[in-house]
Formats: sequence, structure tokens, C-alpha cells
Amino acid sequence: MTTQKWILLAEDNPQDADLAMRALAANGVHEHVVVARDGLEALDCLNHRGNFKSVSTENPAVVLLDLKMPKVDGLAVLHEIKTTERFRNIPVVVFTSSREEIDIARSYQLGANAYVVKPVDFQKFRDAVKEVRTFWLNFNEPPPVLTSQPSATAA
Amino acid sequence: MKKEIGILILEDIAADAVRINHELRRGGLNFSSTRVETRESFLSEIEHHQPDIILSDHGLPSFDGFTALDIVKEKCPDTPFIFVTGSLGEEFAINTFKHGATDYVLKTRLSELVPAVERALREREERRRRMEAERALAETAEGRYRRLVERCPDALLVIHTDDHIAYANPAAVKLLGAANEKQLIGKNAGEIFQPDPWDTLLDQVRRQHRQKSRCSFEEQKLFRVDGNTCNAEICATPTVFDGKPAVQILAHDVTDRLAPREETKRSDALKIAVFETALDAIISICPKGSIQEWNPAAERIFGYRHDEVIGRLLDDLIVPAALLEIYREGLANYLATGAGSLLNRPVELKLRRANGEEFPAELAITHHEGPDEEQGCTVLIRDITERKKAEQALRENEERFRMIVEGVKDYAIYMLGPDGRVTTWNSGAEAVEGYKAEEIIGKHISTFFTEEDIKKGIPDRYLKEAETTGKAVSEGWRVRQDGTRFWSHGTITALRDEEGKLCGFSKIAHDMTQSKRAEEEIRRFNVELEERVRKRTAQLEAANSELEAFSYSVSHDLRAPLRHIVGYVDILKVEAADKLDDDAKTHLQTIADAARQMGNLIDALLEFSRMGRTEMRRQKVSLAQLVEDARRALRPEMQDRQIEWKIGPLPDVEGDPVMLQQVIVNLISNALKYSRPRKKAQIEIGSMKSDNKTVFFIRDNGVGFDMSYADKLFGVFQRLHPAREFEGTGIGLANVRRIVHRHGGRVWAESEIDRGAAFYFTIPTGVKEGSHDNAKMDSAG
Repeated sequence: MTTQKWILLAEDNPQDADLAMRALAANGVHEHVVVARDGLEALDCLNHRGNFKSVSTENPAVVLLDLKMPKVDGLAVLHEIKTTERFRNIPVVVFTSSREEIDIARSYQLGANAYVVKPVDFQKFRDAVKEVRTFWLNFNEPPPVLTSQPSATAA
Repeated sequence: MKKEIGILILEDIAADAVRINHELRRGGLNFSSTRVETRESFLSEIEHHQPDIILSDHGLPSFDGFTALDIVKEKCPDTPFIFVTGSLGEEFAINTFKHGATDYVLKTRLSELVPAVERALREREERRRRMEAERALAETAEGRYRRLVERCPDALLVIHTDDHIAYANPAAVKLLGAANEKQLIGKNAGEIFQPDPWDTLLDQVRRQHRQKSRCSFEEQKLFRVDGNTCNAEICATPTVFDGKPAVQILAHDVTDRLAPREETKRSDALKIAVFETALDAIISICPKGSIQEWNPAAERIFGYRHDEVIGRLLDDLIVPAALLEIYREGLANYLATGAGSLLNRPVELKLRRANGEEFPAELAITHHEGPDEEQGCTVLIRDITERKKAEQALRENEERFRMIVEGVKDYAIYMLGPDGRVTTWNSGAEAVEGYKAEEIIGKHISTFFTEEDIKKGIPDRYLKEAETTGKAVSEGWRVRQDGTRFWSHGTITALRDEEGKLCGFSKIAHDMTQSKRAEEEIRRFNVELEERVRKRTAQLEAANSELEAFSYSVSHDLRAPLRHIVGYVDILKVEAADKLDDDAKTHLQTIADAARQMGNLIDALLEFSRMGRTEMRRQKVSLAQLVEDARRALRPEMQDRQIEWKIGPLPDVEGDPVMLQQVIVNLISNALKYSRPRKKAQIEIGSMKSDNKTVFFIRDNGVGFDMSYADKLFGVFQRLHPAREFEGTGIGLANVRRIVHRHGGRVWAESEIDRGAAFYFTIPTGVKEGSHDNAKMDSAG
């Protein structure tokens, strides 16, 4: 059984979320994009709980993760994903305004798969989003889904 | 020829010993010396060779002079000990004397060595003589008389008029068959003499006393305590014993009358022997004063032969003219009354030798009674010249020491009795403590202490410590006579007599207030300094962390709104294209350009801030290589342009290659930018020596700038040209200055409008990051 691939966009700023969505749409992408407005929502989404019960039970194809978010910040979400067995393989692309060395270093330390600085120029912004999407959804071969693993929801 | 002097030299430096030996030889001393440098060899020399004098260095690698001195004082206290040292402070000098060193000589003034050695040896000789004199002195008249009585071969008894025996000499104990004198003391004389003869004897004595006649020897039968009897010749004379009238009895054993002449002969022989060999002059004179006996000692002392003096008047010969009157009066008085001031007790006076020299003498006169022809006096005269000299030397020594002590002005030197009360006071003490001698002598040491210290019992604790350990170091605030305080540093030393009994303390103290104050000042200053450094560091750290937080939030939050402006302008342009006229489109473009420029400025500012915060990695950097790399990187900006490059030799420097690359790129990029209007740009890069420093320069023929704005050139966001002519953020030269400063260098520029510009900078080689902190503060302020 194949389900539709989907993208988790963790972004607290509505304008940035809107611009990102427009960028994805402008590239003729039709994948399902779920927006989480803080770190807590991002984790709820991955766990299909709270407001995200209806979200696909599959893991997202890629997570676009902002760093500076209220409640639980991006680095904490990244840590949670990379230390949880069933999320560990989800590609995480840090998508942030910060070019600070400390942010870049921490992100890679926690296991980020890529780090992209949001360009100010909208054209460049659109290109960046497009490249990320194309790479992770079209070119990148995702890890095999472990079916032999007994699942709590299998019954 | 004089005896060879044995000299022991305690010295670790052989060359110094050679110099000492040379000096001694040069001084004409007849000596042999041995050099030692360890405790073992020193001890061995002292024990086996008994040196005459010791010359000692102060500090030796394994031994020290003071310890050596202590050993000498214990093992051979007579041996002079002279410190021969390299340096000598006042305190050390006092210490050497306190320790009992004989003298000290500086190695830099070895010419003083021979006089010091000779003086020490002379003093040792004097000391020896003095001790002999003192030993002789101990044999006082009393001792002599006691011995005479004790050793007298004839029995001597003293019997109080209540008939009880009060004294018996050993001969009497023997004669009367007693085991000891206790058996005789207190016994009734009637038991010894039988009552009748005793009463007769007493009567005779009383009569004798009244008539002043001489007693005569009478043979008596004595009853011994062991029950036997013996015969003795008795001579009884009245006397006073223990303050009570008594009879003195001399008893000569005549039990064995078989060899009476033999006895007499032996007795005469003994008298003659004493007369001939006595060290004192023994002279007999008749009541008129003419000499009858003159023994060899008298010949020696006065320089007159026996045959020269017999029959002559004694006063003519030996009494100095000044004393003649007194002497004659005394003699006349004696002849008239039988009593004389000189009789039976020794006196000191001046007498005269044959050569006219006067000398101190001790004189005792005994009167002997008898038939007229036997009457007269025996005069015993002792020459005490040597003893007087010894006493004089002792006094002089004391005087010299007193002079030293008095001469020391900076040190309070005084003595305390065993009870801690002041007994002596030098002028240094007066200067330091403020008391005059008469005000303080007899006062307790606690007078100098503060109330608090006295309450804590500190003065007594110091005395106790000195008494038990030999000395106590006393340090603290003391009170002067006028109530002011001073910081005293001193030593209390216990003084003990030969038997080890405490006879007082010496105290040497120095006013250390100045250095104490200075020390406290320094300590307080250091504490303040540390506190200031700590505060400053904390401020810097706070500023830095604020700066980091600021950059961080700029990085995150300031760019988002710009992105939104640019994004939505773009969206508007696309989605509302048909509703917008050309003017509106231009305005939208202006909005987007402005936002984009602001994004660039923020990025440049963050870069500038990062430059101040990142760690420097120093290494050898080739400036020539950096220039090459920069020209390659800037190639896009050189397209379609005519540029004449003039690049001189460039040395290597020490620095951070990444940062220095930025400096070079910035300066070359500026030169390219501002020479753009020229048809043919000329850019010169090189270095020159100035004041021992290497100065690098980059010169162009561009538009230049007005020197009156030169100080603004290196400020953040400072631009001297409109952005529409020359693009840029206004951060480039600020970055150049920050980097050069962090390398400890200097940067400046020279220009004239339209005549090009020249930028200069220095990078010191091998110097630490000089103005790192300043550079960091630049971005905070």
C-alpha cells in the first residue's frame, strides 16, 4: 500500500509559512503540506495527537524546521526526532533566518540533514524551497519502511 | 721567634681562602691555616688541632657561620671567632656581636683582617691573664686565714667565757681524741683542762688583758674525750668570737718530747721555705719602720736587693711621695696606740719600685708582739698590676660595647631584669620609644605594649618564650611615650649566668612602621586592583554576552520582516500586474531594493560583529600570496577595465590568515571601486620601513576623499561617497581597522579629492593580540 508523500513545515511566523506555501505551490507541487506553528505542534503532528489526529500515520518525507519558535524550539524538536527510534530516519532540513555559527554547529550536532538560510530576496527564497523539495522528494531514496516491526496500531 | 698561629678558615670558596691567606702573609703573621667547609671537618679540626683563631664565612652550602659560632662557644669558648663575609647589613653586624663573635671583616676590605686577627689574639691573651688574676682574687684574705687555721698543725680552740667550746680546728679534734669537731663543740672546757687549772687559766687571761702583757706558753695536762690524757703547751689569749668574749687557746702537743728540736727545725725550715718561695713580698719592719726582712719576692717586685734595704726605712723606699704624709701619720699613730688603719686587713694602694715606677698593690700588715727586739710588723705586699690591667681591660671592653650600643641610633637596645623591668636604655631606645632613661628604668616591659596586648598577656608570653627557648621574636604595634603607636620588630634574648640562672633579658627592637605601612598599602592596593580587574572582567563579559545575544536576535528576527516585504512586493507585482501602472511598479521596485539593501547591511553588521568575537589563529602569513589571492577573487570587478598594477616586495607577517585576507580584499576592492572613473586605474601595493616598523600601503589614483573627514573613514556605516555613485555597506574599512587593531597594528589613510588615496597599516611581528579587548568594546560602544 502506498500513501501520499507529505511535508511537515514547522514555522511559527504566518508570513514565512505563507511565503513557503506559495513557493511550494508556485513550483507546481501537490504534495500535502502540514504546518505546525510551534515545536509542540510539530511533535503532536509526528505523533498524530491533539489537533493532528487525522494526519497520515506515515512519517513525513521531509521536515522543514524553523529554529526560533515559541514553547518548544526547533533544536528541541530536532533532538526529539533524532533520538526517537521511529523518527530517526526522517530527513530534517533546518530552514531559518540565522547564519550564526552556533546555530549551524548545534543543528548538525543534533543530526540535522541540511541547513538552509532563508534568503531575503523572494526569488532566491522560492528557488531554495524548490531545490529542497525536489531533492528530498524526487531524488533522495528514503530508507525502507520496517514492516517486520510489530506495530501498536497493527490490530 | 714567636709561636706559629694556628688558623682555621671556614670557607666554601677556595679562591676566597687563598685571598685570606695572602692577606695574612702580607700582614707578616707567622701562621699556618687549614680550610674546611663542612660541619664534620670543622668539628674534627676543632677537636684535634685546637686552632688559635677561627675565620668564618657566613653562608656555606651545607653549613653556616652562626652554627659554627655556637659550636665554638660550646667547645672552645676562648678561641676568637671572626666573621669574614661578603656582605654585612647593620642587623647582621649586630647579630654577629649578639652571637658572641669576636669581630667581623668584609671580604671587600680584607686589609682590616690582620689588625682584627692581632686584636683578637691580644684580647684572648688579656682574657687569659684576667682569668688568672680573678682566680687569684678568689683567694681572699678570709680564705687564706681560714686555710691557715684549718691546716695549722697546732690545736686551736675558742672557748666562750661561759666555758663552752665554740670552735675547734682539725688539729684540736685530733689532739683531744675526738672523731669530729661536733664532739667538742659545746663541751665544757673544765672537762678538758680539769676545773682548777681552767679557772687559773681564765684568771691569767683576764690579767693579761688588763696589763696588755703577752701570754706565755705553759705545759698543761689535757683530758681527751676518749679517756686518755696528753701533754700540751698552751697559750691562751682573750678574743671575741661570734660577738661574745672568748678565750683563744693554742695547744702544741708535747706528749712526745723525744724529738722537740727536730720539730722546731722542721717548723723553721717550713717558715723559711714559705718566706723564700712566696709570690708576695714579705717584709718585716721594726716599730720604727726600718726593714729587717726582705724576701726574694720583695726583691722581684720592688727591684731592690736584700742587702740594699736591710736597716733602711721602708717608707723611704716604697711609699710614693704623695702618700708619704699619710703613711707616716698612720705609723706614728700605730706606734702610739697600737692600733692602725692598715692592721690586719688588706688594703689597696700605690707603691713605688726602685726605678720610680708606681704600681697598684695589695697590702696587709700583721703586728707581732714579743720582747722589744722582736716587736714590729710583717708586711705582705702583692703586686696587682696584672689584675688591675685585666680589670681595666674588662672595663674598656664594656665601655667599647656600651659605645657600640649607644652609637646605634636606629635600634632600641635595652636590658631587662629577670622580672621584666628595664635596667639599661640606649639612645636608640630613647629615639624609638620616646622615653628618657630616667623615665623608664625600673618600669616593666609591658609599658611599651598596647592595652589589648597587655590584656591578652602578650608581654609575659614573650618573656616566657625567651626564657624557655632562649629567644623570642616580638612583632607588633607598640606605644611610644607620647601615646603614638609604631610597628616594632625585635628580639628578646634571655641572659643567663655561668650556672644557667636567668639574670635578665636583652631586647633589640627596630621601628618598622614605614615598611609595615608600605606593606599594608601594597596589600590594600593589590586587593583593590584585583577587585577592579574582577569588576572590569565581569563588565566585559556582560557586554560580550549582551552583544552576542543582540547579534543572535538580529540574525533571527531582523531579517524576517525584510524577507516578508520583498516577498509580498514580488507577489503583488505578479498577482496585481494588470492593476498597477508604471509609477506604482517603480515604487514597488524601490521598496524591494531598499529592503534588500537593508538585508545586506544587516549581514555586513553581523559579519563585523563576528570579526570582533572570533578567536584569532596566528601563523606565518605571506602578504604577497594574500594579494595574489585577492586579485584573483576580484577579477569580476576588473572586467572591461584598464588597470596598471605596481606590486613591490611584501614581507611575511604573523597573524590570522583569514582575517588578513579580508583586510587585503577590502583595501584592493576599495582601490578598484574608487578608481573606476579613471580611464586607466593605477594601483600600487608595497611596504616600507619606518621607525623600525614595516608599513604596508595600497595606493590608487581614484577619486580620493576630503581629509577633513578622514576620522570618519573607519567608522561603522560611515560613507564619504553617495551610494548611487559607489555601492557599499560602510562596513569594509571598519572591519579593516578592527582586524589591524586585533593584530596590535595601526591603520590610517592619506588622500586629496580627485588625487587618489593611500591606505597604510602596520602589523607588528611576534606581538601578542594587543587591543583585543578594545576591539571587542568597539562593537559594544
